[in-house]
Amino acid sequence: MKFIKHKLGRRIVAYMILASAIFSIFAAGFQLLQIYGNGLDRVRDEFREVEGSFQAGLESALWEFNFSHVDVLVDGIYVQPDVIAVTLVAETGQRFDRGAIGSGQVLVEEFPLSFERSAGDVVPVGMLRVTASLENVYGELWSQVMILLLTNFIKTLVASLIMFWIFDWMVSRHLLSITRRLQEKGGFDAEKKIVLARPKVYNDELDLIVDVINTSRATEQSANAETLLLRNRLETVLNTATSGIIALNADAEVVMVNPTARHLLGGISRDVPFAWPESIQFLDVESMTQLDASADPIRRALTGHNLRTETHLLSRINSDEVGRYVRVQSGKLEHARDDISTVLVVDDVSVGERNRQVVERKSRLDALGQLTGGIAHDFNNLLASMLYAVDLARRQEDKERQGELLDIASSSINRGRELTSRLLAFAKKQPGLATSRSIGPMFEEFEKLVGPMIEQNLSITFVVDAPDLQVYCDHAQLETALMNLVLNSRDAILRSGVGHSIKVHARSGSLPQPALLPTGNLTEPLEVTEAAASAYRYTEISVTDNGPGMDEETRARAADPFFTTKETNSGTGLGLSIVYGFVRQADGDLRIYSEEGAGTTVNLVLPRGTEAGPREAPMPLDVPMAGTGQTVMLVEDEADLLNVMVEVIKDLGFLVVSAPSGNVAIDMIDAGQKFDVLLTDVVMPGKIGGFELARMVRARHPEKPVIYMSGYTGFTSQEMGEVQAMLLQKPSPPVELSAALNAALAPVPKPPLL
Amino acid sequence: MKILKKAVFAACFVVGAGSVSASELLVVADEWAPFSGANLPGKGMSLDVISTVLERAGHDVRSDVVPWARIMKGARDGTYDVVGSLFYDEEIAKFMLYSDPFYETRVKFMQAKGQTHDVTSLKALMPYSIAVGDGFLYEPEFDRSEDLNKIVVTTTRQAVQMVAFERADLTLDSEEVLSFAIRESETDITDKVDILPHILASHNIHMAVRRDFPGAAGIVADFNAALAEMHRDGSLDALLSKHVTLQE
Repeated sequence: MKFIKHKLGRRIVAYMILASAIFSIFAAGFQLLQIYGNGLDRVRDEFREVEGSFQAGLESALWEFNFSHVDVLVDGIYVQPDVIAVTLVAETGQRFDRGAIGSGQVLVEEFPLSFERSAGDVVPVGMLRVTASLENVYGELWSQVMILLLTNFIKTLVASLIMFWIFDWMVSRHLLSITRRLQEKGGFDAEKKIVLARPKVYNDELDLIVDVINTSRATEQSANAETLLLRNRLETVLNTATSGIIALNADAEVVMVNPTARHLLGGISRDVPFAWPESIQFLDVESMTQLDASADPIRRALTGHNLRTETHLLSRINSDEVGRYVRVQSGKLEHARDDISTVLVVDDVSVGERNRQVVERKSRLDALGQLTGGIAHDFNNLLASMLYAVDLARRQEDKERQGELLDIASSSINRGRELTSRLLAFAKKQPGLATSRSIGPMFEEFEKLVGPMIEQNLSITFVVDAPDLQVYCDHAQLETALMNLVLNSRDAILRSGVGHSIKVHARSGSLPQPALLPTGNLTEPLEVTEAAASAYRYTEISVTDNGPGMDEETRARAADPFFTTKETNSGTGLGLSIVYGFVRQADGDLRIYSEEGAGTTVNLVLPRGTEAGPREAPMPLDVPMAGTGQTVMLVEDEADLLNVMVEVIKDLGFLVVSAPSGNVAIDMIDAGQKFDVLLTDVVMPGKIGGFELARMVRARHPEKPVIYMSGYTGFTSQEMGEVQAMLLQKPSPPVELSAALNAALAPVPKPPLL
Repeated sequence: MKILKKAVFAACFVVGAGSVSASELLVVADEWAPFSGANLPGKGMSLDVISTVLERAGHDVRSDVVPWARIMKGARDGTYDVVGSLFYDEEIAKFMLYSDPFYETRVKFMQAKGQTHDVTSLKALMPYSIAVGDGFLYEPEFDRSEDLNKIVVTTTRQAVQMVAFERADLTLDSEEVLSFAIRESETDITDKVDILPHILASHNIHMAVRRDFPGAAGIVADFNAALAEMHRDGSLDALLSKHVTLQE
């Protein structure tokens, strides 16, 4: 009987009972009316019976004074079911009474009695008065009412229960099962279709509902999947974006923020939406003070301004932390479909900005350096000639000869005066004497020059990939620059007691690339348009030591003028800044890679020359060799670089699986991750570095090729250990990367570069 | 009761026990007021006279009033022994032994007061409606006549009332019966009717004993002797006058 609990059934049955009650009342009323009519008819029939069966007899008996017969007949009338009283008064005075008229409702009929003595001669003989009670009629009516009530009650009760049960069986339980299915976890799995517990499909309303639910569930699920896919993609894009992306609502609350932006907002980890952290403010770059409300980028963006690459200092107030330089852009949403009012794109341009500032300072100092060098040389010559002239004049007895010599000194002095006046008059740069020269002969000379300056316990090696490689620059300055670098390395090794070798390496240089990442190198990317079909080629000369390396701060300031790590008075602090000035003037680039404890590589990128003399004309760009879907296991601890490299390698036609550390990579491989070549960073946090990772991978897959990559290229074969493999210099242009990958994947592995 | 039966069987059976001396005699008669009737004093003139005479003759007597048909059947099969209020009838005489008559009754007409109907001949009766008892026999010629306007009723009492209320012109019966009926009528009709002096017929009233009853002849003889004696000493008349009051 638990189906009685089902509310829908109860309501239906309640309505049914109500309707049944109304119709029952009508039907019962009709029936009762009929019964009442029948009762009255019966009573009237009794009167007619009296009329038909007794009247003539009575008339005759009265006429004949047959009173005993009259008595019999009156009794006969009196025993009629509904007759309660009979009164007969004979014309001759006799009276016959039966029964008595009680309270109750009665029907009375009088029958005048007469005897037709002969035709037309009718003699009245008496008056019969019959009283019939309606008690029986009402009694029957009442018992019928009771019977109808009782039978209708029982019938309705039973019918209701049956109806209830039928409704439960045919409808309620299915509705409940559908409800349960929709409520249960995973109820919206379109694979798990709702099926009714019925022997077959009737194509009735329930089947229709289930069909619609199943269809809509499938539709919804695919829509959900699509939404999820879009969400994941959006999330991936947002997470991968190196720009900070912040969506704000009209109340300046952050409603969406990507990890980069969280990082910029001081590593905030609160769930969105949250108010813009009060401690994070935009400061004016120059004055380092908080921006006016009218200049505040958030306020302006929210009031409908489109911010276009504005640079501000994003700073945490009341903090000693150095703020970040950020470039802010915003787009005003014209027809926002949600609560997002504006989207800020914030790029951390701290490195670039600081570099710009440094370069700005440095470019001033560069000139000073150049000037200093040039002037010193000229003045030296002048002073030498003056010294010789004065010295000779002092020892010369011949006045005439003495006068000539002093004239020479005077003219030298005048030249010096002219020189200083020229210097004073023009502060213009010297263009330098750029020429083309082969690397081979240049290195031979330089080796002779620098060799004696290197201690016996240190080794210096010169490696030239192609001796005919031409360099187009001022070679005197190049020599000075190389000297500076070699001596810096030597000093670092000697000072720290770490390391023992210096390597000078010349090779065909990479094309300048758009910066793939902030690697901490000093320079901004050279101007190159991505769409360019051709570009200049360069020659790279690197000086690598296995000395102590530089820490972060030292590396950041390495090229600052007057910055030095050497003892007081042992250096000017101008070495690297002069080198920097030289390469920039030569339209080249300087890159510094240093791993603390491993060593330092300083890379000079200089224009390629020609045997004829002038700089080599721009060459058509190489087309990278495309991969053929092989899988590259890429291991790189720096997330941004990892993400970018994944995209680059994918573009090159390879599949990529990536890991942020050696540990993760080994776990993935042990979990069955398939790959064709391992491309790993060398220096990574954690116990497993690149070389160790390669060893562990080879232990598992001896046939798998390995490529190392590092900004620092001074690793020795001993450091490389068991697995000797190609070492790519970071950042590698796509051409080199694809070449290296294709080479490593070729049947005969290329020997390692070192 | 019915004059028919009185006329045809004309007998009062004296019902008695087998022995004259020892047993009680049961005298039965039918309802025929004032001659016999359960509610009449001494159960009517006939039973009173028979009982008195037989007791005088030395018999123990018990009387009862039963329907005529039952009397006839009982007398034949030996249930009843003595029957009273009988006219003489040949058929009954075959199995019952008649006593001497103890009374003579006369059949007369009755009319409403003030009427002057001629009842002296059958022909004279022709214009009148005559109330007659159903199956009653009054006088053979009258009974046979089919030209008369006879109104058949059940009882004499009805008949006299019909005449009194002029629903019938005439009726007829033993004058004792007519008088009794007028007196006992439901309506007071004493002053409304006249019994005409014309006598249509006379009938003797007897009692009779079942012939196969032991001592039947003795009983009849005893009765006759006692009756004669009572007649002589005037006690019979005295007894009769107690029961018969004629309408004047």
